[in-house]
Amino acid sequence: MSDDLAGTLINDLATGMVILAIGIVWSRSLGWALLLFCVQSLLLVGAALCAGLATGASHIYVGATLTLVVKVFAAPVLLWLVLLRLPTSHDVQASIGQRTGVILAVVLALILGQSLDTGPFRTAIGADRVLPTAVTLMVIGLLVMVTHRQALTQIVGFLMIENGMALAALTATYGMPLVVEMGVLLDLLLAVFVAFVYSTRMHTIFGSLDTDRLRTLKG
Amino acid sequence: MIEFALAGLLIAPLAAAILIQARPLRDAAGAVALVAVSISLASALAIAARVQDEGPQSAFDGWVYVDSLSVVILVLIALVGVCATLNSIPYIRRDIADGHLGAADSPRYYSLLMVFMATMVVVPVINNLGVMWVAIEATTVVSVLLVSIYRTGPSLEAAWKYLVLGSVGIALALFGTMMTYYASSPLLGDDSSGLSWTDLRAVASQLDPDVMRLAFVFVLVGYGTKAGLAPMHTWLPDAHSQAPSPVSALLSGVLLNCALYAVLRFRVLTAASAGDAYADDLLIAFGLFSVGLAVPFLVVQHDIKRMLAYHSVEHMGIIALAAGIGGPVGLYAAMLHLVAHSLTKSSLFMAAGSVVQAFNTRSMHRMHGIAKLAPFHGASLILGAVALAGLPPFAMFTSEYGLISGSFSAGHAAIGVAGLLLIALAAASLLYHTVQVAYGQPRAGRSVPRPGAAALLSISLPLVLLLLVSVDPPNEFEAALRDAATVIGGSG
Repeated sequence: MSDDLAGTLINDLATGMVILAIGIVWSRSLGWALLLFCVQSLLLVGAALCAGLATGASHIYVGATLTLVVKVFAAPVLLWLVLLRLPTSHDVQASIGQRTGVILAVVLALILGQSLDTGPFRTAIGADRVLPTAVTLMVIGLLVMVTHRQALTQIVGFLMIENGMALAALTATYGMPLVVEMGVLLDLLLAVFVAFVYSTRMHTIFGSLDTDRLRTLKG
Repeated sequence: MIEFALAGLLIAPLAAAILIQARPLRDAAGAVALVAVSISLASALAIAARVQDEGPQSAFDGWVYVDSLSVVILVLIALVGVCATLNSIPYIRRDIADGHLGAADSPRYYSLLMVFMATMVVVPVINNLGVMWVAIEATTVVSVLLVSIYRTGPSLEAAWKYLVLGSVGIALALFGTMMTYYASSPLLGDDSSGLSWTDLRAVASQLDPDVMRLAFVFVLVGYGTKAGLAPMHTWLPDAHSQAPSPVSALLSGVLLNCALYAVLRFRVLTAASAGDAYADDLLIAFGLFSVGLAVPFLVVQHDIKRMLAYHSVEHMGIIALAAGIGGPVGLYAAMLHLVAHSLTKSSLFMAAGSVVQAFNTRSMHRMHGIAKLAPFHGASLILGAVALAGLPPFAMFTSEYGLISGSFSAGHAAIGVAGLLLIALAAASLLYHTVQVAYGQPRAGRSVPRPGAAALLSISLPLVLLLLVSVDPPNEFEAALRDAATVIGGSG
């Protein structure tokens, strides 16, 4: 694959990831949010494959495979299992309205996408718009974390931040060194696993996954 | 030879974590853990001696790099690790007797404690900044499980905040690490050596300064969250106060150092690329803000462990401030303060832990009269508080004096004076609370059991060592701190 084609494809996939992120802000049910997140991770894997095809660097394929296993399957499935096991509401428990959230996300995406220059960064492949897009993904992830009270939704927001970062790493430097990438994904999986354990415990103690219950420690 | 010591450092606690789960060893979990951390400490000391004699050491194809800065952090981890494990034995036994923990929680606790130790010792010896990030994130994932070991609502709340804030914060540090890798790839190529600190330092002056400036902001905010620098510190008082006290000693005494260590490694690269002033101004700003923000929370605090936790925010701020002021005096003060804080705070958390267990409350109003009821705990709390308040003859007096005089000679007089005032306020409130707890009127019917040998030794050892390095520091100790300060200064 030529560099130009790869660059165009990665740009398109990155845009797709932002649209899916806005979709996650829009969704009211956790099932939908998780599904959209899976697709977003799948686009990330696609972007990695494009970079791999363009450069022929074998470590990118290994990284893409691990991303597929951890972010498309393992992490969302773990969170889905919580929903299956617990008799809890599937509502994402947003603190702001559906319309407000989406408008906020779209405005953020437009502002960040337009105003952020690539700055000092020149991406390795011709995917010049990707750095602003990656930052947009991270900011929308943060938005999801701060505007939702449901514990699992907050974890989805955290995973979206991670996806943005992985996209930035992929285009700036063809990903991190393989051993680092493996370690990062392992840590991520462990953190999601701990969140899995805690959400079960949270449901036992508080009877819900609403993080508003976690407000007793102060001062 | 150094490979053996490095292997012992890491493998001993990991092996113990697995062995403890074997049925015959479950009842002796504390003893197995103690043997393992002792091996770690012996290895750390062997590595320290080697570095002292022969200078920085590389091993395992350059994956490991140990210089004086690493040695200071490493020996503290191993030392506080031994004390905390020793202290855990009576602490956990008492918790099980009181019904706070089940009998099955004991092997679980010790296994987690050992894995936690193993993740921490990797941080100062690993040369690759990416793997260092992985190790620091691993410390979060393991230590949250220790924070939540009591399975109560508040401990779950603390653990959840710690997990979420810690992971998001440190994700920013990964972004900064990635930018550093990006800055280095034109110079070093795209293989895994791209994040090796020694390689990066060799080319640091050629790294793109714009990229490195941006990278340092992300690294400082990211690892700063983990180091408890304000305003990213909000998880810290919760986690440090809800954890079992020996774990609090580790979290506060040495885990915070690990995060600060990471910031200092990046500081060297950023300073070489973009000039000293940029990184230092940021360190000063976050440092001063942390000290200032902690003060009001210290004054009104009534929970003894939360008070100690806010003092960690304050003292991490002081270390960042001293490192930012820089110069040989400022950097030496930063290292001395780091050592003194680790020793003092770990002893204080363990002493406070015993008192909290005896009184079954963390409220300082309800534990008045400790000096009469429990002379040993009272004495160690008072000594620890005097040390932490920076009164002579303790080392924090020297380091805080160094901070002030360093700030004057570096032309940051206003910052030095502001810092001094805030530090004095924090010290005054600490002494006030301590005097209340120690000499207040004891409530009727309270009694504190006499401490056993394990508690006695684990609480007093850090204080004795602190007194030693304060009053008559051995030459090796001073040389190690001087060398470490040179490393942070960028010429080591």
